[in-house]
Amino acid sequence: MHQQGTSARQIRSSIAHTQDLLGDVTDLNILIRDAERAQRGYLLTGAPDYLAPYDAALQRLPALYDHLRHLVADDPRQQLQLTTLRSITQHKLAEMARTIALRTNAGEDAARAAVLTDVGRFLMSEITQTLKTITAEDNRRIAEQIAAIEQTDARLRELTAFGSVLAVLLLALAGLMLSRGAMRRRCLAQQIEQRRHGDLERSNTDLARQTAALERSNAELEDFAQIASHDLKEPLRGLSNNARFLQEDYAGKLDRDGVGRLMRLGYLCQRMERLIDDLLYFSRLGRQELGVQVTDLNAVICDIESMSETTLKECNASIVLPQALPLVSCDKVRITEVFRNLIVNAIKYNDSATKLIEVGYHDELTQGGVTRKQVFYVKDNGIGIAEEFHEDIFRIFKRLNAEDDEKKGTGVGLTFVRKIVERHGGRIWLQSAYGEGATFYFTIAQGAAYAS
Amino acid sequence: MHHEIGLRAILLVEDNVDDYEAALRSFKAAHLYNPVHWCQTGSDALNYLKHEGIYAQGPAHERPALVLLDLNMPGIDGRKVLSILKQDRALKRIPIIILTTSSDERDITQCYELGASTYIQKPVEFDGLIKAVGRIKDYWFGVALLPQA
Repeated sequence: MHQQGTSARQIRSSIAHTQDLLGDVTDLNILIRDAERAQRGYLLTGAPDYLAPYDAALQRLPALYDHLRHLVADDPRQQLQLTTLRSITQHKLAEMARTIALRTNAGEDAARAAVLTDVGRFLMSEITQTLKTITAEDNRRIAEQIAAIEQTDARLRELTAFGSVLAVLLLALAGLMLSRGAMRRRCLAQQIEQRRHGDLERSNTDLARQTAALERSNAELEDFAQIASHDLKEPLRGLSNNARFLQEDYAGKLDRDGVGRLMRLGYLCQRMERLIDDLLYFSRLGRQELGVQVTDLNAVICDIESMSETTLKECNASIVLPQALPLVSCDKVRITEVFRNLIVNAIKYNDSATKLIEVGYHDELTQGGVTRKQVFYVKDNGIGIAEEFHEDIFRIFKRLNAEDDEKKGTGVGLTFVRKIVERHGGRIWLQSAYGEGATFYFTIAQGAAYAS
Repeated sequence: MHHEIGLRAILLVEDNVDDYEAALRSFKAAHLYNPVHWCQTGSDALNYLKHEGIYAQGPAHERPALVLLDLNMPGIDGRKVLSILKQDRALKRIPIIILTTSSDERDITQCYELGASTYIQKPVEFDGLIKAVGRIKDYWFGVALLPQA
């Protein structure tokens, strides 16, 4: 049958895919282990001959990665794993290169001291773990496919059974009306057969049509902000220019109030431009690929701390990390933006004499009966947020506090934060009451955090 | 315009009156004194360059030294004008500078593929526009050698 034909093809290509993937994973494992053995041999003996497998691994790895990337091109989860793998492997190779150079330049003792830090062994176990995850993920994919095929089969059997019963009934009916002749009987049986095919095919084409429509409307939505923003900017530029030219050309005729109003017009144009730029950036956040890499969040927080040193001092605020944060596979620039936004808010909406911002991590966190894994949080002792606004604060351009023109934001920080977290496959929520500080919690993709 | 010795004309293709005025003012502020011919639509620009339509009868004019071209215009838009000019044996040598609001990666790529010489995003701030025009002047009339008219 048509459906079974497709399924068989699917299985065949799936098996070929798995064989390729497993082959690559095994090769990769062997290559890295050979390289490590070569490195150890060299560290022990100092004889360059030992390094041949290490050099071979360095040469072959890029092609192997390319092939793997090609294999998982349509699987975002595996892509994330692969990026992680690549990043750790690069760390591992760099670590090997470093100890080899130490052995060559500074002798056996220096190299041994470097090896004893255990960094190499830790990275190796991370590599093994990621390879296992990739294999497990592939197994899961196959299991899913098999389940889907079994479901289709079951549905086909049902339809066939139903069709047969129907056929029997109709044939019996036809038998009663034998006088109508054998031609008509054959015709009916054919119709049933056709309908059985038709139902399945129709539901398939319906599904394909709906998917296509959804994809189209997504793309249109993404384009919308981009196009609208550009079209909005054109009259805005005209407004701003006209205000300025009026001020220049009629300088002698305008009194102070008139000049003041024109300057206000200029200010409002600038503000509008910032809003449009923010809208544009928001639409880009939804479109652009994430640049995923292994990220040390402790360094991220350190960077934010040193960048906002003056503000922290002026506001008498300090950032506290109760324990070290894990390494995470994520888009470093964007996740830095998430932490920076949350920290800036924690300082800004805070009237305590000593402002405390705690940045931390839970391997597992249970709240209101729900347990979530790998949860990050930013906690402050600020003014807090009344519960009725807990959803509002994430809305674009929504602001809760009135502020002076000079330091007035556009009200996009938390919208960007949520978008970034969601692009990473995570979610964000908060716990807070007015006057009692706030804690923002968020997750990134499951399995993204992999070492404390 | 052809009698302005030493200063060749610039063709400005821009549908928006405000942007046209801003451009003229910024030329003045940046001391760019070349005569400017303004076309408000893509088809008017093509007629001007090809001496067709309303320009078929009038006095002969030299080809401009530069074209400043807006992308988003009603009717024949900037992309189309660019593509037609770059396929014209006689006109394709004129450098075309795209001056547009769009910073869309697709527009930038497409314009360079079609043969644009430079792509500039219109600065919203007037001071930014003066600066940009100053650079255009320094480069195209200071550094670069231009083809014969």
